[in-house]
Amino acid sequence: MTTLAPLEERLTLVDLVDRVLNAGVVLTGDVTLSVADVDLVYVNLRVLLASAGTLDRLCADSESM
Amino acid sequence: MIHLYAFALGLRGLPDITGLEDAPLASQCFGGVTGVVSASAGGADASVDAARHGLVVEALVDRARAVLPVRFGQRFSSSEELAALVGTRSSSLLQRLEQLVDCVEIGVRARGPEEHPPAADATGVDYMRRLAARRGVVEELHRALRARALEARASADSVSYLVRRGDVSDFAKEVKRHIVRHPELTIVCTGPWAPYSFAEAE
Repeated sequence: MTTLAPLEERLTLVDLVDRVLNAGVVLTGDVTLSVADVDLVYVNLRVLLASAGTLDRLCADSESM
Repeated sequence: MIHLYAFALGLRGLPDITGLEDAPLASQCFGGVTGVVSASAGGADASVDAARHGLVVEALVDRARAVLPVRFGQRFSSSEELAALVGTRSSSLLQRLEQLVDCVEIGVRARGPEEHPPAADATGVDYMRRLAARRGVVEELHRALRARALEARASADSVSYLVRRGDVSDFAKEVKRHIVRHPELTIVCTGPWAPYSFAEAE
């Protein structure tokens, strides 16, 4: 059985991963993403590694164009 | 492949943790800037890797004068490829690192209680007034925090503040004052983090 960490810890982890995925220096526009049991997938950084919030923003941006 | 975690200024040794896939961390110098890297074969769980990337970056914060986090997923085929890419930007990286010396990031989310639909006895005007009042309180919070920060970056539902280490305590007290004064708001403050949201110059 999986035991959930306290809410505060989960919140902090979410905030950390959100920053890791959405902010920071970018040297190359593309990234190689590895997912368990799936071969390496070459994806565009702006799409598949984005969090839900970023995807919402990207969708809104593309609709307004 | 080489996985890049962050650039650092004045790095005083590598933290005593391992990187992605339990690989040892290594440093690579680019003039005055140090890159922190590890070897990575790929194929592991991306969510676990992302968390590990973040933990390495956070561990660097206490060991360097300044840290410039690198977004997760920056991988290079060789040290030479990394050096070539950094070489074109080394002066801007160094300049940004110098601006971030002794600085950390604090994230603040604030929102009022949801009210959908509006109370039955309220008119539409009353409802809109209450919404505006709540928005005003949130704006007042962020104005007060902005005055205690060097820079601020707003995203969809939160604001990230760049704060000097020595000012973190006063910043937290300001947040606490607003939490006490406005119990109707949900205010979440996280950090201090490495300055992810300020890694790229404005």
